[in-house]
Amino acid sequence: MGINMQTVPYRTEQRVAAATAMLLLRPIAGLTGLWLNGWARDAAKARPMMTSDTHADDARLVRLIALQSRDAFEMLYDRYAGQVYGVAQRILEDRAASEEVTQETFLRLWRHAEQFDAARGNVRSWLLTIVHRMAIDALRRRRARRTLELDRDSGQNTLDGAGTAPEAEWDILDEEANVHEEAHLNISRQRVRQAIAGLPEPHRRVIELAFFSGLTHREIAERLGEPVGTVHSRARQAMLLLRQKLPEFGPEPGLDDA
Amino acid sequence: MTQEEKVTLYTLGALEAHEADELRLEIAESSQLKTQLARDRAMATLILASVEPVQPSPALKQRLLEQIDASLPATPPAASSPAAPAAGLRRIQRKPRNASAGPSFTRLRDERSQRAWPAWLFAGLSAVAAAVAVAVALLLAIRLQDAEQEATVLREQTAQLQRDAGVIQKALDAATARVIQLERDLDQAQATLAQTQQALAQSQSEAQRLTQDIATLRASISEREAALAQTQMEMSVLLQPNVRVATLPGIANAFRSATVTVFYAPQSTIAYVSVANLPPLPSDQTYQLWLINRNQRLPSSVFNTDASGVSRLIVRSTEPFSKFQNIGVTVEPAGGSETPNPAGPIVLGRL
Repeated sequence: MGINMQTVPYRTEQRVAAATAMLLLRPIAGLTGLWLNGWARDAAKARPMMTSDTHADDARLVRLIALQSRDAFEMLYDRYAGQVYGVAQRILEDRAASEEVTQETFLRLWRHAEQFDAARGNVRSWLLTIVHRMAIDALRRRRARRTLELDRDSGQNTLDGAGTAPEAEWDILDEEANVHEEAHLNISRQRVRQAIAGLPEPHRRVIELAFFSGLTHREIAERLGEPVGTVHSRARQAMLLLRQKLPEFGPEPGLDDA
Repeated sequence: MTQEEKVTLYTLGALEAHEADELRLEIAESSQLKTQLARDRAMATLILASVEPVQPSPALKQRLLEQIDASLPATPPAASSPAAPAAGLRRIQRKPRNASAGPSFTRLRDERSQRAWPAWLFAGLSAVAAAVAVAVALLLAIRLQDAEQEATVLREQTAQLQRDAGVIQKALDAATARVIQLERDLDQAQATLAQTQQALAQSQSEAQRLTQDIATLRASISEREAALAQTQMEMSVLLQPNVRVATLPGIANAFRSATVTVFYAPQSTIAYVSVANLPPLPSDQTYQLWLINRNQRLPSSVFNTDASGVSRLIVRSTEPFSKFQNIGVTVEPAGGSETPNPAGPIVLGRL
C-alpha cells in the first residue's frame, strides 16, 4: 500500500518541478531570445561546427524539453533549424516538402525528448540523422508516385513500402562506441567539404548519389553502369578515405584490409 | 556484400527498407557492428553538417510552436499542485485502531476489586489479559511498519524533489551563463557601435570637405567659363574685317606709363580694350571710358585693374566707332558718372 502511494504524488511533484522550471526560465529565456537568434547564426558560421560545451548545453536543453519547456525547445530550434532545413532542402529541392520534413523532425524531438539518451549520441547528430532519413523517404515516395503514374497503363506497381521509423536505429547504438566517435565531431565544415571534394571521382559520386539523391545501392549501380559489388566496395572505401583525410578520427581498424 | 559494406550503405541511406530492417537486427546483436555504425554515423553527421545551413521561413517556427502549444496541458500544471500534496498526506495518515480495547479492560479490573474471584475465572481473565497484551503489541508492530513505509515514501519523494531541483539548477546555470555571454556580446556591440559612430563622423567631415571642394571647383569652372566667354567675345571683335588698333598713352603725371589699346572696326559698335600699367583703384573709385566726338563726351564702360595693373574689357557703343574721334579714361566715383571728372582724362588718344 505504501509503495503504491508514491505514484500519484510523484507525478504531481514532477509537474510542479516542470512548472517551476518554466516560470524561472521564461523571463531569462525571453531576455536571451534576441541574443540567441544572433548566436545561432554565429554558431552556424563558426569554424568549429560544434564544441563539447554545445553538446553539454544541448543535452541540458533536451532534459528541459522532456519537462515540456517550450523555451528550451525554441532555443534548440533556433540553434539547429538552419542545418536541419539545409539538409532537407539539399535533398528535396522543394520548399514546402523541406519545411514539412523539418517540422516533423522537430516534432519528433518534442515527443521523444524523454527517451533521448545523451550517452548514445548528441542532439545535432540525432536531428541530422532523422531529417536525412525522412527527406530520403520523402524523395523516394515522390519518385515512386511518379513511376506509379507512368506505369499505371502497364499495370505495374513499383510503390515500395513506407520508410522505417528513423529513430529505430538510435536504440541499437552502443554507448561506449559513441562516446569515442562523438569526440571527432568538432571539425570545420570547410575541411569536411574539402575532404569530400578530394575523393576520387567514382567514390565521390557514390557518396553523393546515396546521401543526397536517395538512390539505393542497386539504383546507384544502374545509374553508374557499374556492378553492384563495385558500388558496395566504393561506398566503404569512400568512408575509409574520408577518415584518412580527416586525421582527427585516428586510424581505422579495418584500413589495412581495405 | 560484406557486413561492413552493408553498415556503410545503411548509414548512407542506400539500403532498401527490408534490407535496413534485417541489418538493424544484426547490429543489435553485434558489438563490432555497433562500433562500426557509430563510426560511420559520426562521419555521416559530419557530411550532413557540412551542407550549408539555410534558414527556413519564420512561419515554419510559428507553426511548430503552435503545435507544441496545442500539445501542452490547457491548465497550467501549478494550478493542481496545492490539492495534490494534501491528498498524499491524507493517504499517509492512519485511522486510530481499536479504541474499544481500553475501556473493556478497565471495566474488568473494577469488577475484580469488588469481590473474590474463583481460580478458574482468574486464570481465564489472565489469558484474556495476555491476549489483549499480545494484540496491543501486534498493533504497535503494524504501526511501526507503516511508519517505516511512510518514511520510505517520504525519502523517495525527497530524492525525486532533489533530482528535479538539480535539473532546475542546471537550467539556471545555463541561463546564467547565457546572460553573461549576452552581456559580453552587448559590450562588444557597444564598442562596435562607438567605432561605427566615429567612422560615420569621419565620413561626414570628409563629405563636408568634398562638398566644399566641389563648390570651389564649380566656382573655378564658372570663372573659367566667364573667362572663356570673354575671350570668345574678344576673338569675335578681333576677327571682324577692317580691325584697327588705337594705342592711347597716359597723359596725367601719375599715369604716364599706362597703355590702353583699343581694337575696333569703324563700322562696328563693339570694341575690345586691353589696359596695362594702370594701378588698381580703391573700391570707392573706378576707371571710366569716354567716347568723344565733336559735340559730346559719351560715358562708356567702367572698369578697375587687377594687382598687376591689367584689365581686358569689351566696350559697346550706341553708334559705330567711326562716329568718334577720341577715347579717354577718367577716374570717377564707384559706379561711374554721366559727366567726366573735371580733373580731366588720365589717358587720352585718337581713334
